[in-house]
Amino acid sequence: MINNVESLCCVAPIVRLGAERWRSLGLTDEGGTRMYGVSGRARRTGAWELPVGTPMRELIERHAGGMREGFALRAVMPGGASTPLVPADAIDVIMDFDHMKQAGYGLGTGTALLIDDSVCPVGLCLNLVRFFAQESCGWCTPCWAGLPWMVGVLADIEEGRGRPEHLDLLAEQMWFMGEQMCFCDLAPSATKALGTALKLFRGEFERHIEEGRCSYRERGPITGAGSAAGGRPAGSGTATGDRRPGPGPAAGGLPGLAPDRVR
Amino acid sequence: MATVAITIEGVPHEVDDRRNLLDICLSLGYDVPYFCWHPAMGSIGACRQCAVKLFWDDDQQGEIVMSCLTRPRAGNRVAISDPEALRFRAAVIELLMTSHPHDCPVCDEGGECHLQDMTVMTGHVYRRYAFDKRTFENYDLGPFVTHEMNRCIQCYRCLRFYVDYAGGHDFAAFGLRNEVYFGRLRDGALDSEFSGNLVEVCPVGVFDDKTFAAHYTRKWDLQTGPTVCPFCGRGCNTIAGARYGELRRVLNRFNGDVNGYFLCDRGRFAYESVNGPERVRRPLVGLSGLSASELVRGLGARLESALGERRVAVGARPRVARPRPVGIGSPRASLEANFALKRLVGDDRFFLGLADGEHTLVERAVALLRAGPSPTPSLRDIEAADLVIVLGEDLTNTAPMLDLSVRRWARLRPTADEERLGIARWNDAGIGMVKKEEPSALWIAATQAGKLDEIAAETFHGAPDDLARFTLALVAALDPKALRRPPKGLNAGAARTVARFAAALRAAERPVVISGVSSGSLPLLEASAALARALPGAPPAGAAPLALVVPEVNTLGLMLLGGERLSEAFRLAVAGDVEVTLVIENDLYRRAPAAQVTAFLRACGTAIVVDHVTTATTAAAAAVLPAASWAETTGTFVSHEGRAQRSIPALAPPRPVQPTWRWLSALAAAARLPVGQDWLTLDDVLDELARERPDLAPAALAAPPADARFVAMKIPRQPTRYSGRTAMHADVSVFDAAPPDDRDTPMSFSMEGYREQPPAALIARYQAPRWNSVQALNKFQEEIGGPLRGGDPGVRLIEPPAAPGPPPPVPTAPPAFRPASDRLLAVPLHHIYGSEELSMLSPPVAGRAPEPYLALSPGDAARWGGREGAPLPVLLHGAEKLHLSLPLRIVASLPEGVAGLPVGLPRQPFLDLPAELEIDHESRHV
Amino acid sequence: MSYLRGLWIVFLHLFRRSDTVQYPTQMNYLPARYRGRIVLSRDPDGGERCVACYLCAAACPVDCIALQATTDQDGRRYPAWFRINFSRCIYCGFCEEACPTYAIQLTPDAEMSEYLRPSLVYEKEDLQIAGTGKYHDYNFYRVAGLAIDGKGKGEAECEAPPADLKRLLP
Repeated sequence: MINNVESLCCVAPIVRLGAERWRSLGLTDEGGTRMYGVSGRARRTGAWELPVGTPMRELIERHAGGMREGFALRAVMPGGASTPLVPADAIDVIMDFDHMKQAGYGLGTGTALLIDDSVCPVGLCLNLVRFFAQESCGWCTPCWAGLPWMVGVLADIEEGRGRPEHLDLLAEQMWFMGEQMCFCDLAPSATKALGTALKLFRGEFERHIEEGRCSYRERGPITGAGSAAGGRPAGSGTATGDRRPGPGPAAGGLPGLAPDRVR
Repeated sequence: MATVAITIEGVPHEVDDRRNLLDICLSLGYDVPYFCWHPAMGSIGACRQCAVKLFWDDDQQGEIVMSCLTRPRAGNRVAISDPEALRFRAAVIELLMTSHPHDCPVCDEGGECHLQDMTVMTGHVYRRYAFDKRTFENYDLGPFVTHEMNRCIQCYRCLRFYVDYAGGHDFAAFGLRNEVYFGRLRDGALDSEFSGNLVEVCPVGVFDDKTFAAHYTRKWDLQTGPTVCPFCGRGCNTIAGARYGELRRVLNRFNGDVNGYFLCDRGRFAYESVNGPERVRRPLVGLSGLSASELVRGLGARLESALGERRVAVGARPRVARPRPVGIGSPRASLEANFALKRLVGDDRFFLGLADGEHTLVERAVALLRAGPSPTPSLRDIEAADLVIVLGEDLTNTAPMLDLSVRRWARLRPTADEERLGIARWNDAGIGMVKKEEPSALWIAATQAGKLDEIAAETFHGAPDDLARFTLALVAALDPKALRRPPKGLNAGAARTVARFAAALRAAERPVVISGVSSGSLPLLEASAALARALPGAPPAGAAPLALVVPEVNTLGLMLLGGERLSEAFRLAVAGDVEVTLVIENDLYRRAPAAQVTAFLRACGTAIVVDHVTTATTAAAAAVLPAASWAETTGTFVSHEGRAQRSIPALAPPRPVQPTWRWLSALAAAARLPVGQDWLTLDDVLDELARERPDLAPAALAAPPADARFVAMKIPRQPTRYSGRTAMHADVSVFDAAPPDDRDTPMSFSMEGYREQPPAALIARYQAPRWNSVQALNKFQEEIGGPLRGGDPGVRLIEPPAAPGPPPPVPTAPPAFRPASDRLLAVPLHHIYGSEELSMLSPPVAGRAPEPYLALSPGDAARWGGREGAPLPVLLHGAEKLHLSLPLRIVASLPEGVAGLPVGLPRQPFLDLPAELEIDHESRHV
Repeated sequence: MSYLRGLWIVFLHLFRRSDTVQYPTQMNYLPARYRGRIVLSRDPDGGERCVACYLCAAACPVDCIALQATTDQDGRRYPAWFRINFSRCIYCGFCEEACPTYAIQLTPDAEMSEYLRPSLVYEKEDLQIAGTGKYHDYNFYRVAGLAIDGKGKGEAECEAPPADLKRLLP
């Protein structure tokens, strides 16, 4: 079983070039090269082998060619779903472990998932938290019981049933899933992205709640939040008292939790 | 190990740094909530309920830690009521309640539910979760345990107990996230003999007592008493609960020296016999019912005339000496009942009521234990062992709780690896991981495979004589001087096995030997004692502890009391030397061949039987007096450890049922005997016992005397919330009746009395303010897992002599087992459900007992042409020749030439085993 | 003079309407919450509401309620028998407050006198009524997790269908 392909792939060049030479390829002390990837609405998505310590801006604007016509960058998710979001005005950060950590983010997998202004931040969070809720092992209470609740609350906000107290509830749940509170790092990681998203995009959350709808849906469902309801078109919320069973396995929803159930 | 100074809630404490903070806080009386931690199973850190705030040295910030996984360090400050910790603990409850069903009114756990208690303790009240609850389908787990998975809070206690501690294989966790499911793969009775502990281990109502559900009562409505389980010689402590004059359920009663936190399923679920149709509730004389007093008068007159030689009428002609009455005691009757009978009839006319073979073995067992130097081990002694060897006992069936205790020991015994890795004793996951890699320290030698084999380092199977030879070979290997002649003729395979066993034994510093009388082999019993003598032990004994399993609750007590053989009583009767016979609590048809018993009962004159259930013996008796059952009578029972324990009932039996010794006292009074006239309370009987038998005098100390008072009050059997008092009998009479008077114990049959913690022997309920579930036991112990305040109940009657006695006789090895060409040796097979008399009167237990069968090795089965399940006619050459036709079971581990027959089953005649067995060819070909 | 005034007022009372209620021809007004005779009500679907949870018995300050729980073939828990000793009952209403299913209720009926004390012992058939009593909408089994005939697992008001543990997808 191979644990980390990328690390193992570095072994050959290290041996060939020698440790010193390989390390000198990097731009910072950490040395070496990495595969940096970009996904999202960039002109050129892909993965490039670049020296460690490449600034994020260079990765996005030079290698990936910047954002596509008509899309503005809002934030970047650097290391996979468990890392805090980097706001668009902070993408000068150097992409290596130490610098990212000092700046309050995390390098993680060394990718840049570009969040543009067509992406509903609430839907993004719902998608992420739903993933973590599905992956929860079921050992410690805050994770197995708290994550599904957060999925329900986020789905409510996304589908227009949000209430002001939901944001407080989310903040509280995130506190319950702190590192000391859980047995492993899954739940705390789930809250990292959500925490920065709530901070960066609080206004978006509040707008969903005030307007009682997701304003991004006019541009078409992108984030997969709509898949919870089986791809219903925007605006067709459930009527009060209408009982619908939870999303089935094929939809990847969370059985036992019917986020589209109106309360 | 160090004592460190910490503060808890601002109060300084010196604590043991080997323990965890949760254990420490609970032991000191602080209320910290928890779910997944269990005092007997350690910590795993799953539920997150036990969070407290920990401050290091001068730090003002603090961090939330799980107290169950945190060791104390010097200078730590623990804040239980820190606002963040309070908020977090309330949040955990809120999260657990998100999917918890709205079931409390219909849930059997309500009123003793740990989740209810913790919810109140954390202060969570308002439900904000607005989504649907996840649900599950349930399975039928058999007649003992219910299954209601909606209520699960995923604390993993059931899984850990059943799989890690009880070694069960048919239970697992399925699913993940908020849908983890604990149960079997499909419907079916739980296989483990300890599945009933799930009822107490589960903090919510997922696993509850199915037998209790049939007549459900809330915990606050139960009248309870501290009883001793009557179904085997281990003497586990239990709490019997009754309501409306019926026994409702049995729970575990903690005794750190006997059963700890757990019970076996037989002890927990076999209580229905007390309520069953087999109960004798009125005196029976043939088919007509006399009143109790009429009967006693009549019987007393008979007795008086039978004892006539003891009185000489003044001026009358001297009477011809009449044969004196015969008294037959019982190993399931209390020490007081047996003693009363012995006093009544005289030492030489008191017969122990044991099967002949058993009498020999138990007599020898008691002699060995009394002679020493091996002491009998308490549970704590077993837990401290570094090696356990079991000889000739299928513990799972003969002393089930010893099986569980050995399994627990196997998992928790400290090892060098764990020391080296610094794994704390309470770190359950850590211990589990390390133990997987470590070699076992359990060694077994038995006639066939048992459930413990799977955790043993090695097992040796052989016929009983071969087991004795094997054991003596071990003795010779350990101490060549111990035997005159080591057993010769062991084959090479066996010799290598002996070498392996011996190597392990040599390396052990605190070995424990477990053997007993269940195999029916005297040589094996002697050899086990010799092995214990040859092994090292703590001073002053200097020899390894020796546990000898005996079958019934008071077998050891009866033998300590002493008496003649049952066969001698038969001889006397047949010789015409008996006019009146008194039998207490014994079905003689289980002790001797039917023909002999019937002949005896015909020849023994007036047979008066005092028993609480109808048996074949009561059916043949001239008169039956209704005795109180084990749940209704106060009595002292001596366990196989030699521990005298007082069983105090939960129920007062309705007249005319009364304890056996009171019947004997009444008969003595009616017969105008000088004996028993002053036996007004149980203490009077015990006082006389102490006078007549100073060696048994400590038995009187097993519980406080009946006149003990606590701040001038008795200990109530009913909790303060006991309800329905003015309505429960209102259909019979609207006028309130006075509660029955208990003259034999310092406990009352009411809710009035001393409300604080009673002495350990009188604890009948675990309940404390804020703790309504069985977890309240924490409040009754000096420290978690430790003895009850004032010491665990029970008094040991057998200690090895202070000065070493004369060297014991050296056992000689029996000849090697060589089966005759056409005969097999039938050995007894014991069944936890089936072999014991009283438990089989309980329908849920009876349903799990096997039908009689014959077990053969595969080779023997092939030789005799038997097929699995097909009936095989056999002829048993025991005390009587018995023709039996039994379905065959092929047991791979049985040695060649050895057959197994289950003993004690209800529709079976008395089997005098071990005995020779031949396949009945004539019947086969007919 | 004051007694003349008193006499005058009494004289005026001849022409005023009296407050006397001519019981039993006329009945005094008792509000719905009046704590009178105890009944066991039924749920809106006609089933017995009492689930034999024993809370009323525990709450009763005079221990005048006794019952025994049992289960029928549908899986419904109900009292096999239920007895209230009204010669002890103090009509405090604690039982009604304790009841989690709105089963036991106190009704505005104070006419409970009997000549013989045993007649004041009411069994379940004396207590059971056909209707819902004062609370019309509540059916405990609709919200409980316990499955009964006609309402399986996952079919209560706030439940998801039972988890399928053998599915292969996450």
